[in-house]
Amino acid sequence: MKEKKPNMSVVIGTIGDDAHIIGGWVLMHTFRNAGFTVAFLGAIVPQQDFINAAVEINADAILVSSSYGMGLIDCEGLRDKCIEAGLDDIILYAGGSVAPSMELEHNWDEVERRYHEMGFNRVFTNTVSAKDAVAYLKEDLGVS
Amino acid sequence: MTEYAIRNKRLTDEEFFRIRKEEVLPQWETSRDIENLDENIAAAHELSVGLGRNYAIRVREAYERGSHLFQPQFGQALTEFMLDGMGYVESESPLVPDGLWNIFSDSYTRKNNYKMASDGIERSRKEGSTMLNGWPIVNHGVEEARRIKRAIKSPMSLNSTDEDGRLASETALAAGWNACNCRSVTECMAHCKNIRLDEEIRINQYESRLAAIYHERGVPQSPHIACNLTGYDSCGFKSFIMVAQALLGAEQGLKQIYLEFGINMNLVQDAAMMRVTKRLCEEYCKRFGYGDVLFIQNNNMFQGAFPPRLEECSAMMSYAVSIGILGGSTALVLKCQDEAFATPSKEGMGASVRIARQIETLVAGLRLPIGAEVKEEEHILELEVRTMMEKCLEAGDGDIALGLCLGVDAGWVQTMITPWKYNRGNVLLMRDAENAMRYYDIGDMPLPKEVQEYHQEKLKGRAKREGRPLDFDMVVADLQYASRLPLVQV
Repeated sequence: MKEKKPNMSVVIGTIGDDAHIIGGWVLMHTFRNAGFTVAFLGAIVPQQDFINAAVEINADAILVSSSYGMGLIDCEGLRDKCIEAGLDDIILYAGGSVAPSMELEHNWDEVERRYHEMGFNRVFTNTVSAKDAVAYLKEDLGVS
Repeated sequence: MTEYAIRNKRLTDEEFFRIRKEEVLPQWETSRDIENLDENIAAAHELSVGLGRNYAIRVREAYERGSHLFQPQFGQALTEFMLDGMGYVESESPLVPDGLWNIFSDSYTRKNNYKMASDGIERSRKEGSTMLNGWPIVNHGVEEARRIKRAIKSPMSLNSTDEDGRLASETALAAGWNACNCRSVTECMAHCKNIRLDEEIRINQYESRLAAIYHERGVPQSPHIACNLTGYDSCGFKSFIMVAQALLGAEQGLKQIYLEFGINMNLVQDAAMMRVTKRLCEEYCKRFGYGDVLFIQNNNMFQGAFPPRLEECSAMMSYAVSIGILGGSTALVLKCQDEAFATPSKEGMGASVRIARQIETLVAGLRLPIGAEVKEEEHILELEVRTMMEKCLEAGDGDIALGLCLGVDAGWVQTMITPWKYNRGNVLLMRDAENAMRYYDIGDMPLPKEVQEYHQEKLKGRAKREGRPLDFDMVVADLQYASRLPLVQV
């Protein structure tokens, strides 16, 4: 696997049929203010659009927002699509109401395990701040 | 630059019936029961005017009397659930006789995905509970809509939004309901991603013309012009799009318009917005030759995030209802304690009607005194709305439909956050020390210097109150200003 040199660029969007745009919107502004190039795809974004944008800007990471509880279904297979597109080591984060609300509240460890199993590097609840997300990504990229 | 064919021009009968035959009726099989418009109008007359349950007449009479109509919202998958839920609210809360209904269709119907709505109906039958977030009016068809109309005492309006609500509105009107929201810009920004504004205006011209035909033939209609948008929009922008949409609706022949204000939860600014909007709707309509349109001011609630607990939710509703009554609204659309978790339940809606009626009792005839603060807000809002209107009218060579489309392209017509891909989205809003909504950054909006300076000045008050400079984090924090539960300190 080729080691990719970070170019401070990310793809951000809300996955699936989900129209909740606010989480991604906040991330877009915060990452831009932190000096990142951001491809912001808005809401209702199919997996392939994330991949296409990531290839286009040679992204360091894809940040997936999901707020209607069906993220576990919508995120399945995203890592495989990345690998197919030659984005083997791209960082994947998910955040928001990433699972049905009961699961989130009582079963976070299991939710986290399943996202890791799907090839996501980190997953966040909707209480994470955008600034923290920037700090985590910088840490993961080794540029902090 | 994109060339737009759209114009603010009344559809001829020939155009209307061509669209009806080619684009509207073929959408789903239940349209076979509403092919004959003459029969539809006759049936609607009998079920609305005939039963003394016409929506437009009810709203107009309440407006003339100065009384308040409360308007719960409801929508579940099966007709039996509708009859049970609406019947419950009408018998268990003080809704009748001064009540209305705002009925939602489900998200599949709103996206014209009638196949999925059909699956949702089947699954709801199997599970014995609603699997859809609204009543799929197109799938159920006109006879089911008439069944509800006969059984329920309060007049109903249909809210079937998103890209194309034409068949849903045809079905509702044929059953004696009110429908046909006049809503092109609002809808693009609130619920759409890919449709162009010119196409949305074209679709909506049909709905306005449809309502006007019923009205002209003796079944009064009062379509809503809403500014609910996304919940995070400035009062000036809300007012502007309502005035612009009033011109679009009036050209198609609307004579009574229900102004539905999604409020920002600041008594002074919201009251000013409602007063300015009504005034400018009347003024601009007169200027373009529609001198006989009746505009009635009504409220919806705050459209942003609600808190996830009963007590805080009830406080939100109570304050919103107070703003509506004190601010001079006739009808008040209600949300309920389920708002932060789910679609409304019958118990939740019944509780909201009781809360609202009690506030009406308490407030009685008191209205917000129109003092210096309200007048100042009105002056600023009026300046903003006039500037936006004139800018678009000038770009469109006097045509507001064309001007709005060009305004979107230029970035003048935009709001902060929306899933709509044509929105420029570089405007930033923030609340001031009194929680009025202000421009932190006007982006590409062509606002006069006086408006900008006024907003900046107001925001300085917040910086002072919080003892820190304004920054983008405040914009973000404001998105949840009312939905975070307070910390308990021990």
